Amino acid sequence: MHKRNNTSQFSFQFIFIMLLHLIIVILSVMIISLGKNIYDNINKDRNINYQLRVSLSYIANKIRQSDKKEGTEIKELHGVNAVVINEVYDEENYQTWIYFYDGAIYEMFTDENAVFELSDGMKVVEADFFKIEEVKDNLYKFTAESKEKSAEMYLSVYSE
Amino acid sequence: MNKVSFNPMVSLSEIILSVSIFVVAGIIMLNCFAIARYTQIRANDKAMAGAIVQSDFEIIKSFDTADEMHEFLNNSYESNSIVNNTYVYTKYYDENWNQNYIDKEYAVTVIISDKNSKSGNLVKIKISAEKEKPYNFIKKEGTEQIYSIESKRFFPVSGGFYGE
Repeated sequence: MHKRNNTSQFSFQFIFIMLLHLIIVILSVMIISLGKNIYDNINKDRNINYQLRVSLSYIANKIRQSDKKEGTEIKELHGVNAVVINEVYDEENYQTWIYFYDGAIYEMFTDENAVFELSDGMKVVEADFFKIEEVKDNLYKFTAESKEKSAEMYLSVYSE
Repeated sequence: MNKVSFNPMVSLSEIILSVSIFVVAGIIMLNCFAIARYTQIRANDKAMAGAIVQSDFEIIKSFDTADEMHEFLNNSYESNSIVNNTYVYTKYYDENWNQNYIDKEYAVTVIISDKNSKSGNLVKIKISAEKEKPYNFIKKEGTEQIYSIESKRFFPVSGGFYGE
């Protein structure tokens, strides 16, 4: 009889310990899964922000570098708006074209009045959507979209 | 044959101790995850607020006269007030940074003080973005400033060099 009581006490405690082990395992999985979700969200947000901010900052820096009278303008190139930066090297006129094509922002450095295709440019940064607009003579608007988020940037320029 | 001894009472106390340590470590980890998430939210807010404030400043910079600037602010900002020659314009955004007057999560405020002279109008401009409700895990009451820019813009009477 005494031996039987000992056996049942032992099995009860054994089950209790195993239950605690199980709780540890479940909590561990929950914490790891929660951490993974939070890290995934942070990483996703970071990537979206990177795409939006890099594309807008890139354009803003390029324009500000050449922001003088008749330094920049917006022109249409094969049906899409493009920022054109006019530069002079060794008394020769050159142009840098920045435009959106095939899910990315492209840049093309070429002679003035040269004819080229959209695909000829160099891919700078990927973006789901990028729109270039001229609100008025001295104000440009840029819209970047990446997945669910979008960002706008206005740029006031001296180039008219 | 060797017998394996098993003392359930010692094991139980060890397990309870290890569970307690695990719980404490888990709480600390969860807290760190939550803080990381809210730091990310604050970073996003700063990026969005910066973009909005800078864009509004660029638009203001593009105007030739102070009247054009006030017209733009009257049209695009939801509330305005004038106190002692200081104009205050405010617009509101929801949690996804869409302009929204009802679900006010963020506010962008423009404070403009005019200083007229014979040659033109010197305007002191301050644009700031604030969060209406405090962030979680941060013990602060009232609004919290996210981003702010302060500058001056001179609108000449003649229209200036580019105004002809």
